[in-house]
Amino acid sequence: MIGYTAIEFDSEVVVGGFVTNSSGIAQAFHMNWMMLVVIEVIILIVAVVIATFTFAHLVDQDANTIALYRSMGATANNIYLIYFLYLLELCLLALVVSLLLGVVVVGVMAWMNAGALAEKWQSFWALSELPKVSLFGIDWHFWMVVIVMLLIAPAALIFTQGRFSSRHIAKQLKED
Amino acid sequence: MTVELNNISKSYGKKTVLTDVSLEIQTNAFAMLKGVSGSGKSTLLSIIGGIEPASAGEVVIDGQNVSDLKGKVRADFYRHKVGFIFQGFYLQPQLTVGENIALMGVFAGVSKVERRKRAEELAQELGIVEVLDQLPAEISGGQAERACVARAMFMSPEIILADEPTNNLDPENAKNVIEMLQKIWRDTNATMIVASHDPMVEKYASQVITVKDGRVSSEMGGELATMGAPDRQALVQEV
Repeated sequence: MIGYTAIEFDSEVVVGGFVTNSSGIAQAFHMNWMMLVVIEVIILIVAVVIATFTFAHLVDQDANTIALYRSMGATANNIYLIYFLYLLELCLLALVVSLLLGVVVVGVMAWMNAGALAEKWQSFWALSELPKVSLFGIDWHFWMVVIVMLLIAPAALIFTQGRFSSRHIAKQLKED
Repeated sequence: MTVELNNISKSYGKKTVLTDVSLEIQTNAFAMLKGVSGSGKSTLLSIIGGIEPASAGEVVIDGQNVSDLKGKVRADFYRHKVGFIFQGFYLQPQLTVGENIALMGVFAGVSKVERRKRAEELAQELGIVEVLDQLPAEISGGQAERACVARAMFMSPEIILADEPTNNLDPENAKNVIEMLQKIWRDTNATMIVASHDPMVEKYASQVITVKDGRVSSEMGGELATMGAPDRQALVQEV
C-alpha cells in the first residue's frame, strides 16, 4: 500500500502527508481495501454461481452415463462420489490455471514497475541502496480464494442433487 | 426368472406413456416388446431394468417386488440379476473396450485382475478380443454392439434387456446381433427381453408383446424361436 502511494503521489507529498494528515491517508487506504474486498467477494459469489450452473449442465449432458451407472447397480452415493471427484478435479485445474495466470500477471507488473517502485522507496525511506521489490506474496486473500474454489465442488453437488434423481435422468434421456 | 408387471403406469408431467400395463414374461423366454417409436416399449424396458421408476404399479422379478427395494439392496439386485444393452451403446469414450466391458466389475468390487480376465473371456466368446485395447471411437458399429452385449453379461445376469439392439446397424450386422443374442439366450438360460420395431427380431422371439399407445397385448413367439439351428438358417435364407 505504501508502494502504491509512492507511485501515485510525489514522495515529498507523501512524507508531508504522513506528518500532517496521517489519518486521512489511513482512511483512503481503508476505503480502497474495503472496496477491493467487496469486489473480491462479489466475484467469488459469481464464480460459484457460474460453476454450479455449468456443473448442472454437465450432469444433464451426462444423463446417459448416469443411466448406464444405475443399470450397473451403482448406488446414489457411488454416482455422487464419481461426480464430486470429477468436479473437484475441475476445481483443482481451475485453481492451478488461475495461479499460473496470477504469476504471469504479477510477473509482468513487476517487470514493468519494479524499477520505478524501488526508486520511490529508496527516496521515501532514504535508503542508501536500491531495495529489491517483490510483488509476489501470499496473504489471507490468496487462501480465501483457494478455499472457495475447492468448496465449489461440494457446494455445486449439493445445489444440483436433484439432477441425479431417476426422474430427472429419465426426462433427460427422453429429450435426447 | 419370471418378470411380472402389475398395473404399471408411467407419466411425464401431463403426458401418459404407459397405462395400466400388466404382463408376465416367462422364465427363460426370449421376449420381444414390439412397437413403433413412441409406443412406450423403451420406457417399459427402462422400468423393468430399474433405470426409471414407474408412476404407479409394481415390478416383480422372480417373486421379488423390486419396486420396494432401496439403496444398496436394490443396487446389488440389479447388478447381479439384470444386464442392460442400451440403444445408443453408451460406451465411455475415454475407456478402452476392455475397460468398458469391465465397468460393472468396478461397482461390484471385483479386482482388476479378475475384471480383465472376465472381459477377455467375454470378448473371446463374442469375437471382439482383437479390439479390447482400442477406444470406442476406433471400432465399428457391430463391434460396439458386441462390446455392449459383453458389458451387459459381465456379472452373468439372469435377465438381459436390450433396447433396439439392431437400430444403428446394417441388415447383415443386425442379423448377426440378433443371432448372437439368441445364442446367448440358449447358452445361459437367461430371460431375454428385447425392445424393438425390427420385424427380424420377431422371428426369433418366443414371446411377442405388442406395445401400442402405452398398452400391451401378448402373442406367441416367432417362427424361428424354437427351431433348431439348421431349420432356422434355412428359413432365414428363404426370408
